[in-house]
Amino acid sequence: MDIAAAEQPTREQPLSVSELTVRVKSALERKFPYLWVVGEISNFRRASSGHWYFSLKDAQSQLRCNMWRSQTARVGFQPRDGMEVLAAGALNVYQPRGEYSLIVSHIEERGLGRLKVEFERLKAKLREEGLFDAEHKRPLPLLPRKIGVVTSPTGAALRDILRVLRMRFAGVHVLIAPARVQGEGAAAEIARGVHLLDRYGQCDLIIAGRGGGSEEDLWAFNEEAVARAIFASQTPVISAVGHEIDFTIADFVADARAATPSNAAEMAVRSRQEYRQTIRALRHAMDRALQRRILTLRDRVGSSERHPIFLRVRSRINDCQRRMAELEAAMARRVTALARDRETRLTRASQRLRLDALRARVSLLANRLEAAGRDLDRRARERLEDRATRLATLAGRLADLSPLRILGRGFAAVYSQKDKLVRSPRDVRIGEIIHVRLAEGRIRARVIEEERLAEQAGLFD
Amino acid sequence: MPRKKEPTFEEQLAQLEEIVQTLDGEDLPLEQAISSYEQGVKLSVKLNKTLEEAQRKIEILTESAGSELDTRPFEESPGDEA
Repeated sequence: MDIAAAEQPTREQPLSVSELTVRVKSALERKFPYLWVVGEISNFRRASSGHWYFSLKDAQSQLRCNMWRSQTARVGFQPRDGMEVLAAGALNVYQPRGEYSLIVSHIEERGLGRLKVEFERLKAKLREEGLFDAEHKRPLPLLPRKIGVVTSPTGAALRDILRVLRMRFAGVHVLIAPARVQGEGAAAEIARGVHLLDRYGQCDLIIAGRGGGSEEDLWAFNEEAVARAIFASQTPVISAVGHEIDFTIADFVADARAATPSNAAEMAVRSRQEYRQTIRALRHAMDRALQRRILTLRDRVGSSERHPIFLRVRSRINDCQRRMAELEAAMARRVTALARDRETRLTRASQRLRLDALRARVSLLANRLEAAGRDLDRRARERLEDRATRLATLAGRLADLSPLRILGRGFAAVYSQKDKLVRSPRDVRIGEIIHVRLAEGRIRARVIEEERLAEQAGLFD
Repeated sequence: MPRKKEPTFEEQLAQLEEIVQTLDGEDLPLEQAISSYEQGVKLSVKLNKTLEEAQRKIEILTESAGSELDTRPFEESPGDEA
């Protein structure tokens, strides 16, 4: 029933509130069974029942909206006050209060709609170009010596990153490239930060990110400039946008994606303890491997040694060694003997050397002696002959004085058994055989008695 | 951009892993095994040293008017000390 066409209630025939409400409800609900309306959300309230209650407003007006739980489940975003949305549904009048509202069956973010289209377009384009390909993903360094961080120097993201890094591995070098992470120009700053850290920062790893926020807040990480900078970076990049559900374009391009900045720090470094364990495990593996190696070699040596052919060879070697030992001993003996011999000969030779010298001297002396002797002989003979002559003369003269003459006169000369001239009884013993020289021969006699004279002068003195 | 100065921690660790693998091999002559082992010991010492000697250092990139890049120490906010 059309309101205009309806019978106008008069003063005499007024409508009750209920009647009017029914008419309004009927009219409105028939007129607007399904409509689209655009406006900004305000007074958004999520009831414990799961229904949503909010208003849509623009500069001049407000529209009360309800969205039942059965519908809200299908909404892909979180409505918040101030959000511009497109809502579709039917008008409803609530009779007890005489209020009308829009029963929303479908709602979408008006701004996001445009952004979402842009997002999908860029994503498709970059995927087409291969920016997301796994082959471009660089592995993260095991232990980055220096980590570059592109984020707001005042944001929670940086605090979280530094906190986690300190907890895990205190000794890390961080270089921050300050960048606004939301609003106009943010994407350009982030892109530049990545570029600078990559080119000049001498980092082993770059973390680019920010804390959680609305779709619009995070939008910079969906922009092409950021994607290009990340892709161009020679240094591995972790995207760290605090947005757990959806991915940003940066997430697709980055070498690794962290759900939050803290998570990015955890991905960047392991704990010092973990590194130590890794090294220790490798050391042990190495020790074991070498031990095994030595045992294996020893085994091989052992089994080779036990092989018959080696036994034979070894036996031969043993024989040879024994023979060699014997030869050595023999040789040693020979050498010793030889040495001793030589030594003896040497000693002798040296002795002989002295003897020879003596002998030479002696023979020299002997020669001289002989010569002297000959000389002496000659002279002696000469003198002897001379003397003999003189002797003969003298002998002639002496003949008269000879004891024989004296003997001839009846004297005798007595000689002891030892042919010594006896001058005194002391010169003989009793019983001794004595010779008595007489002028015409000699006799042997025995001493019978002795008698000493007190003073008996020598007969022949 | 190549920045190859000293082998990185990772490269050294990879080298150590390689040595372990080599040592595990059957055909390695003993002399080589021992020299590999010695090299491995040196590496592990060096790696541990790297871990111990790493110093915390936080810097921030600054850019002067003439686009001159520089760094200065970054003051961590007191809230971080928790």
